[in-house]
Amino acid sequence: MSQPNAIQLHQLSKLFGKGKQRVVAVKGLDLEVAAGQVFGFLGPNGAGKSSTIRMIMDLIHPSAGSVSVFGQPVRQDRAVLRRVGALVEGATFYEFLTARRNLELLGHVTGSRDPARVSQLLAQVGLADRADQPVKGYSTGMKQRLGLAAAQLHDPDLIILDEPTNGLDPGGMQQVRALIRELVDQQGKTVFLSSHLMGEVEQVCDRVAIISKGEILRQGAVADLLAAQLQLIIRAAPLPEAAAALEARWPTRLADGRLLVAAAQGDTPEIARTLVAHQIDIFEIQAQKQSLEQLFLEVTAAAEDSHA
Amino acid sequence: MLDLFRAELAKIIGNRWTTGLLLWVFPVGALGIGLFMLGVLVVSPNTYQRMFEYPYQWTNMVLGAWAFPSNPLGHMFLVGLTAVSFAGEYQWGTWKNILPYRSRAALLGVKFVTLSVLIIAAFLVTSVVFGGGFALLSTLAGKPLSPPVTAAALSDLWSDYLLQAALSYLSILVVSIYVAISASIMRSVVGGVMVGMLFVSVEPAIGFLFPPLALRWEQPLYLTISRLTPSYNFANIRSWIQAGQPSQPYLPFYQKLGLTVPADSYGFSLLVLTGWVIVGLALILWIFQRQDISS
Repeated sequence: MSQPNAIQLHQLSKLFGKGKQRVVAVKGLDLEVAAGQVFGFLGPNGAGKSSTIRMIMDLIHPSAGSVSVFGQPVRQDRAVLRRVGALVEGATFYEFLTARRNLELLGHVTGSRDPARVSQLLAQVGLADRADQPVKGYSTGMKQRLGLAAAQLHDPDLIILDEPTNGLDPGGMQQVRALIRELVDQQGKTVFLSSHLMGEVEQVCDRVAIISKGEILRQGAVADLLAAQLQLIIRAAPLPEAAAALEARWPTRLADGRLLVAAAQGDTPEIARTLVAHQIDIFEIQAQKQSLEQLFLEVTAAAEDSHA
Repeated sequence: MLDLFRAELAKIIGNRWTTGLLLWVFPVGALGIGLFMLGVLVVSPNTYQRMFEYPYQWTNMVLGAWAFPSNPLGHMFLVGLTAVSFAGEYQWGTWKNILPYRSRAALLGVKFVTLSVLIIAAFLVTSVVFGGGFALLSTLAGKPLSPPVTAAALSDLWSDYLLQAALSYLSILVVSIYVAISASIMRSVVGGVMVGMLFVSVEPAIGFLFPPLALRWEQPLYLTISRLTPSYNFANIRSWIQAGQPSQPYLPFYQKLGLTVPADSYGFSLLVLTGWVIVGLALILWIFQRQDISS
């Protein structure tokens, strides 16, 4: 029997406000996150990422649609959330308590009351030395580290991390990336990672979904998404006419005396033929693999244009 | 549930400034008064002796500790404590850490239970400090204890004590529930305190403001509303306990309207107060169950 998806969203929607104040935060989201992978959830500010995460954690109620975690609908069977650990939108704690006391207190709530585990997690996130100091003296980065420890406290099967590297220094970011991979590769967990940092996502995620204005624009394996989309760097003359010949079918822009065209790998011959048909002289066509950041910017910009 | 209680207890007690200023201030204050009296004994023994000329009863001291939380000033302190307990989770952004793992009803229930346990403990200690301290200070002044400590006196005290403590607790509970509702809706400690104080101030005023309106518009409904307020019903229960008869502050108004004056029973008042508790609890549960935790 196949393992159920770690997360399954079906036509998930969330509206905030009423009447003219109504805001559509999430619109008919369909998403499947298989167990045992790092899934990246990307989107610009206000795209609906945190609202989606809050619906998965049953903190906000969907206006329509459903959320299932490990095959169980969350609204009907909240007990399944005991298999989930989360760092939702910035780590927050009882600031008058120490880091250790905060974790112990959380342990009472989640049913994980092993003092050794608390100490081990505090050491893992580099807070062993400051564990017995009140959280109010912590920097943003230290609170994020504590949030990472809190998310793992009850040894959940699914860990949801919303911008986990916010406020961390480069060394800390690298540690978090290594930790995420370790959780998946060595401990068999599933990590759902929401982030703005494309480099981070590209390095650690197996699959990604790009969300904008509450809708999923693109999803798939990172390698497939990047392989499917190339950036062609064309040296040709006259360049404005070359851009005009192509822009009806492919997103183009002029930069440093070159024409940059976003296209699928298989489109290269057709682009060349089109330019020749328009009597444009081609000096060079160079294919460059897109970074996730380029793909993200392109996809979200296209969505912006279509909404405008 | 015991785990949740432990967590809630750690949270409230760990917030030392808040519990210190709003709860522990009562037993510590009682101790402070005792120490002040000892200071008077050391500095001016004659003044000390004069302070004990009036025949105070130590049993009244023990019971008196429970009078404080049920008066408007005492309510103010407990309004603050309740507001911090409920609105704090919104303000600190900590609901999101715990809500996914426990039912909202359980989390709410545990908050009320923990606050109740702490308040009862604080006033239990306060009454012991008041009674015991007074007995000690009285002995130091060379005065015999009045009434003498006998089995009968202790038995009388015990029943009076339970009644006084239960009434005070019920009064705190009614206020706490409505503070918790406002704190949860406004998601702010300050907002919760403001609305709570408004409730504490306005609710007793209904009993004074509505009866003249009943006369002016010849509308007995306003008298009925006044008879449904917690303040009136607490006063009515106290009147039954102390005088064996109902409290009838609205008697002249009913007479002027030519109506029969209702004599509300002890049971009627208990029923009304239970109604305030049940409706309040149902309301906060309904609000909290539907609430989006979006910050």
